[in-house]
Amino acid sequence: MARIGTGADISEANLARLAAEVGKSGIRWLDRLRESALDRFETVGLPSPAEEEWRHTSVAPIAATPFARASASGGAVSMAELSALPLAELGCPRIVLVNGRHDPALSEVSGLPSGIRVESLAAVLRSRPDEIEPHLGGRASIEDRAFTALNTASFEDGAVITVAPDAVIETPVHVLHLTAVAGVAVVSHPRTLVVVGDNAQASLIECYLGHGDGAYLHNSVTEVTLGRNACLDHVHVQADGAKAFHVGAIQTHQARDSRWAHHNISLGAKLARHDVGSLLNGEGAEATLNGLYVAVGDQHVDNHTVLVHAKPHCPSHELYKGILSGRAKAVFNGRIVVRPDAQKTDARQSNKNILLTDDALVHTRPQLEIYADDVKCTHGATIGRLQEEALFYLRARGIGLAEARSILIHGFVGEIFDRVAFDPLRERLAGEALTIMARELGHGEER
Amino acid sequence: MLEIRDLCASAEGKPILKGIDLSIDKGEVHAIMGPNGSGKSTLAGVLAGRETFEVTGGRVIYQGTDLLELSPEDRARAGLFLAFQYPVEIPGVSNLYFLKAAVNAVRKHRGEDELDAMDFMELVRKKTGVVKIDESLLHRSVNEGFSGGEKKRNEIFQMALLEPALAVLDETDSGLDIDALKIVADGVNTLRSPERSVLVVTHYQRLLNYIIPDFVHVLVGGRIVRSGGRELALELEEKGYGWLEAEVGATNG
Repeated sequence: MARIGTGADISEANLARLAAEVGKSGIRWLDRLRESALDRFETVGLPSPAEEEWRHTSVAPIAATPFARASASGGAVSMAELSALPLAELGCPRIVLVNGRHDPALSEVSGLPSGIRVESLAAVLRSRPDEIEPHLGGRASIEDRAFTALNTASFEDGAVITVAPDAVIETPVHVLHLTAVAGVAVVSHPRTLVVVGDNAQASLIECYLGHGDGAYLHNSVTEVTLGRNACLDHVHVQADGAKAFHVGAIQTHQARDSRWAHHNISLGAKLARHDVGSLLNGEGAEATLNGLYVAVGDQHVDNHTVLVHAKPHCPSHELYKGILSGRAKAVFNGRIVVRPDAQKTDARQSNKNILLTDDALVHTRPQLEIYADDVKCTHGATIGRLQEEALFYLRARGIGLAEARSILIHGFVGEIFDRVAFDPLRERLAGEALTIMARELGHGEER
Repeated sequence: MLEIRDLCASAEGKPILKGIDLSIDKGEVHAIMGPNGSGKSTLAGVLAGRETFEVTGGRVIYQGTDLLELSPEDRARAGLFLAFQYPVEIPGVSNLYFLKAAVNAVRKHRGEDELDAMDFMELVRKKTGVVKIDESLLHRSVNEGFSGGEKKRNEIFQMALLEPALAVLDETDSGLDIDALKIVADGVNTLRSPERSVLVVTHYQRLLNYIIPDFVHVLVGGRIVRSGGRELALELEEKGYGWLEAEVGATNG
């Protein structure tokens, strides 16, 4: 595109050059896919605010950062440093990727039951590339998003979780993506593939964290394939550093009668954008999208969700909640497409926001595209403050103002956390969210 | 216990209380009656520290301190309790969690140890009998989806837990059927003691058949226009508020 000489142009060229450095894999389908992905990225470039999908989110800060490739992981983060991170130790099997590459020393997957495999993407590509050909790039298309194209051209490693048909895996698997920052701004492109076989059931916790205080970009893509009657509980936690950028796509294909419960918890980054989508591609498939975003200071968080109802009798339930403070900005765009075949669709969407300050801002938009005539689709959005009357009620019972606020915030976010089934994670997430808000409210009262 | 002197207050710039004088001693039960718009709920709100009302004059001395200087939470910690006319629904916050936070805030203020979950449950079980509150309501979100009667019972239950020195009941009887009314009144009567004072704000005399007041005051146009014993309530029941309003109108005119 003719945007010669702009900062974005330089940054695009830089990101494309880094992608080219990754080199050939020798796997024909993969090299061809990467080549088209790079072409695609070079053609479309970074998204501009002129694009409808990016109207309220400017990637100018990303374009202005001269990223370097995140260095190889070996020893970048020690076990002690990892354990000190709030969401690293959950007491379940864990695969750790540092700077987009598998770190076997930090991973612990030996306790996995039979029926589930948790491997590094690079290892699977070395040993059994054909197994993942249908899944890699099949859910998150390079045509749909520039950042997905960039990830596809650039990823060096990732995680592959495969659940065998009929396997019921009770223990959650923790996939931990960590970027270690050391001086220069780095970019990593972790790729995660999840394949759950027919009648199988599993639970996944995907976490994106930063180690260190500097700027970095997590450009992640997760592709999920659910077989017939498969069931996946999928918690997605993004808690990056204060100077970090995170652009993530989570794209799912659901076969008949499958159930996908996705919990998208976004606890901070300078700029975070999540594209969450599912194609309900078989009768009776059900998707539940829960979301919570907490943004403070001048943080920006953008959630774009797309649910495509392609077949009849598919229910979807979507509830996204946000708490904003300072000058934080949030975007919620919830798109629901009901294709002509998808009669008896039952889609419900709700987005609720609390603004703690005058300067916080939310753009919320439902986007319903309904091409079938016998469907139920409801949507609603609210933007409000902590209820004054409720604050007074609590204070009139002797509860101090700060605690009263905290109780009301707890009540607001609790609805989302209550849906996270894994106790240790739920408690830690609630703790993290409240710590962020307590810090923020503390600041507020000093002013 | 409570000394109100020439209290004036306004809401959104409009004067509502126009010089209230009222003294309540330890152990006494006072009733404030009056027609709609006379300022009854404003008085209750001002005492509890509701910020939508502006105190424009007068003083309120509670147990020797200037009540109006205190924040709502400090008033509650000092033993003042307001039973809300419209208890607030708080989704996502369990009733039990809320009650424990309230009890511990008050205990902390008194220099007592905070109760842990076990001790708190023991206290709850001891007090549930007072208002016959259904235990399932304790595990639900505060007042969310409660019936009118359940909400009011929850208020009295909170009062039983917090053991205030001065309880202000703001139209706690409004909208209750006779069974719910009796339960609420029984709850209040159980808590009557020589150490505890109660101010009952009501529109209807009916409640005073069950909570027998020592004194009755009639509030009209932001002033107490008549005070008397229990018989005054009966007189109002018989004659309505019209004759007092007419009398006040005549004096003012």
